Amino acid sequence: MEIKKLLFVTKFEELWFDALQSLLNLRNASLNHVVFLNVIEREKVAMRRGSGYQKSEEIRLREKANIRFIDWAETLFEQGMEVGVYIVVGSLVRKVIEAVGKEDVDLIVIGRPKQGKLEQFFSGSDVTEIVRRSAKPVLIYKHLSQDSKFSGEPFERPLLATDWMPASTKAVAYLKKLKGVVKEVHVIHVVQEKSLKGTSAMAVQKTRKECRRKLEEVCEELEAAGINARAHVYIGDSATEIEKAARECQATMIITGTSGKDAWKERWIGSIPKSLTEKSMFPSLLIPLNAEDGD
Amino acid sequence: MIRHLMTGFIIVLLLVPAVSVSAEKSTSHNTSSPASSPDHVTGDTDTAHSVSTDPHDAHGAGHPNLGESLPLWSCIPFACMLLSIALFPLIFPDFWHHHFGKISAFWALSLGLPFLFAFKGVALYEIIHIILADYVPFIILLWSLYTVSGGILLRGSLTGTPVVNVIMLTIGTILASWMGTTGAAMLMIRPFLRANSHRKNRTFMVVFFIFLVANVGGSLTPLGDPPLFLGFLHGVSFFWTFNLFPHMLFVTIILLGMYFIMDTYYYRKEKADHLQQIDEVKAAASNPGKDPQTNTTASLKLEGTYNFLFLAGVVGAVLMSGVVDWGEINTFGVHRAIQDWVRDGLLILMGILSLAVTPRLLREDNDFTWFPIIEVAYLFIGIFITMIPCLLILKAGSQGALAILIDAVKEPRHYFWVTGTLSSFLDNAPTYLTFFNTALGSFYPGMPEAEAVPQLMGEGSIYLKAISAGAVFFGACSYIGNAPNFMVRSISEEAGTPMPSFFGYILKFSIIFLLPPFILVTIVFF
Repeated sequence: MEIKKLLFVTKFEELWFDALQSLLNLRNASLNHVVFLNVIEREKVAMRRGSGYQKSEEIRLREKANIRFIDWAETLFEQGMEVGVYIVVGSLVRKVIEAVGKEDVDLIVIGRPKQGKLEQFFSGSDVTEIVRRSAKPVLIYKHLSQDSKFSGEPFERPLLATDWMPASTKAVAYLKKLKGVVKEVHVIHVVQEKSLKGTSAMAVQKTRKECRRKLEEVCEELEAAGINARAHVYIGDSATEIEKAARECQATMIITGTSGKDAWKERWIGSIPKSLTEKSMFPSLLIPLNAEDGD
Repeated sequence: MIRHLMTGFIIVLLLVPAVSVSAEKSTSHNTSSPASSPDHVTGDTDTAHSVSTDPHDAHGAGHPNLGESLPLWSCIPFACMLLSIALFPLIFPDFWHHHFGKISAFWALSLGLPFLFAFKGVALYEIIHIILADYVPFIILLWSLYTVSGGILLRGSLTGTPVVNVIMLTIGTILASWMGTTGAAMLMIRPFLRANSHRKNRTFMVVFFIFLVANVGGSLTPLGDPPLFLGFLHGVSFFWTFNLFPHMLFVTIILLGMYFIMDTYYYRKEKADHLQQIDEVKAAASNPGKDPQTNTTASLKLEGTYNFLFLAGVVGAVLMSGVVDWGEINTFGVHRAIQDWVRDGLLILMGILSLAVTPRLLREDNDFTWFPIIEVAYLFIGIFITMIPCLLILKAGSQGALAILIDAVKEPRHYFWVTGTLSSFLDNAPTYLTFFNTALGSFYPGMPEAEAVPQLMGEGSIYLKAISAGAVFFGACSYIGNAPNFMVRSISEEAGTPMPSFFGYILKFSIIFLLPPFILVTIVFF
């Protein structure tokens, strides 16, 4: 599960070359190929009342994107990297999946989704849909500092949220391959408050110790792979506590496994990956349960 | 932008029913049509309303003399709204694409604010009434049909010979009345384009597809075309529209005949011109499902077929609301039949079930997008609000400011051609409603709608047929006559089929191929 090839999906709205540059330390984890993808939304060129399909507009948008990509590619070439480019018209999810299929990338980088609640209700979350269908890790890139628009190196000090489920194990395995990139990992587990209701102080402490023990095992596993790791236990709502922990640990990114909960169920009751994708201020790396293990 | 559009859409879709209600049983009971429980105002003393049983309350709604006192210029926002829809997309397409919601809101406010200022409670009632009684059910039906039909995908390809094409057009025409012209057009257009991708002359094929599947085919049920559903909401019974079957059959046979002759001519011409290429076509024709260009088999496969169940649910819900009477609910002072709310709820349920069970992948393969239905939702709130004075004046008959129109439009053929001509360039749904009310005002002035509409379906049925046929058939005359027209055009152009310009479509196709059948329809039926 090395990161040799990266798919960088941008609409040129909030994800620019500086974001990609902050990820280039992934070269220490074998990154040598970047594929750019710009998806022109169909609504921008098609289904126009009175004017049909706007071929000239499509060409204009393609050329506009191409100019940016050429510029970015030149910089990457200078650094000895390979570059691919896709500029396509259609649905974001479908085109990302197609590009992933063609290029067999190891990581998808995408900006924070700008879907409204209703749009998500009708169509589902684009990002979790990509994770579900691509079986590739997806990094939802966010700028940590609003002023500088620069987030440092997201992989430098990640926070790994684990719930001991298979998807979390997959996330640990993924992290272990990033030895040359990750300096320190904060591993946390959030105990649901409702699971402690009615229990005695002793029982709470027992739960904490049990969680701590499991977290220490994960930390040892990571340290065996050459990555410093620290364990933390939190109690409360998962998404809120993960965000809180990321702040307290000054994390540069949140990593979590995702089991690919049923899309329709997710629309109604939500999920932690969905919440992190939309609400967290931190870049979020979602590792799917069915992510390939091959190197 | 989509987020804002969606937000506006949901306000209407979901929040409007969430009001304080008080159920009561309607006093009059007629299970033959929804008109048996007409929308009418409660006895609110703040406004000058009276209940629908008041003989002064013409057509069961609103201020008794409002239609007689409103000036003609109060219809200007309505005219501007329709002209905006017709002209902005042609003259300022980008501006329209990004600001149609604001334009709709502008015209709605330009009527709504002065109207409220001048007539206060009466105006408020009229606005709420048209939103609850017309706009909400109208949009919910379109949304559910669009959502459900968007979950059905026809994969694979046939080989586009004249016979195969005629069969595909016939199937699309039949489907249009049951899944809406938009649904049928979206289901059939891509297989139709794929089947003919090897053909050189494809433009006329798509134009005839627009004529038949996107318009004429929708004339048999209230689900087929929006104008007919508006008629249903105003009391025209579900099965009455079957009376248009002879008209539809007549036009369909003529158009299919013309199409077959043209297609056969071009097919043979292409054969002669490209013998070698046609050998491939022949080979493919002898092996159905084989793509003549790639020479690979692509058998036809219908996916998402469970959506036909939801489609049946939509048909059943609409039918149900026309045959039962469960009393009324007072919503914001407007009485609506319980079965109408139940119908709207069922339609939403059908749409949600379709969303729940249809894989997102299938909708993506259908190139499904919410944009067209959102556009319709935004435009029609403007249309419905601005058309209030126009409808009231028309209902006042010869006592209203549009007496000149009512006096001029007398014969069925007048209704057919005036409704039709305006439907060609303006949206056909409000045009239908305008002349539907013209007929009511002309033949049954002062009579409550619940009483007048059954008479219009009976003794005056030729007029209603003329209005209905005019609104549905003439929608094919331009790209802006009916919503699926421009959608089909866009999809075809994207797939590489050259389409005529706006005026090219009218001059090269509509005038030549549509007007003669319409003249014959006039001679034979009106």
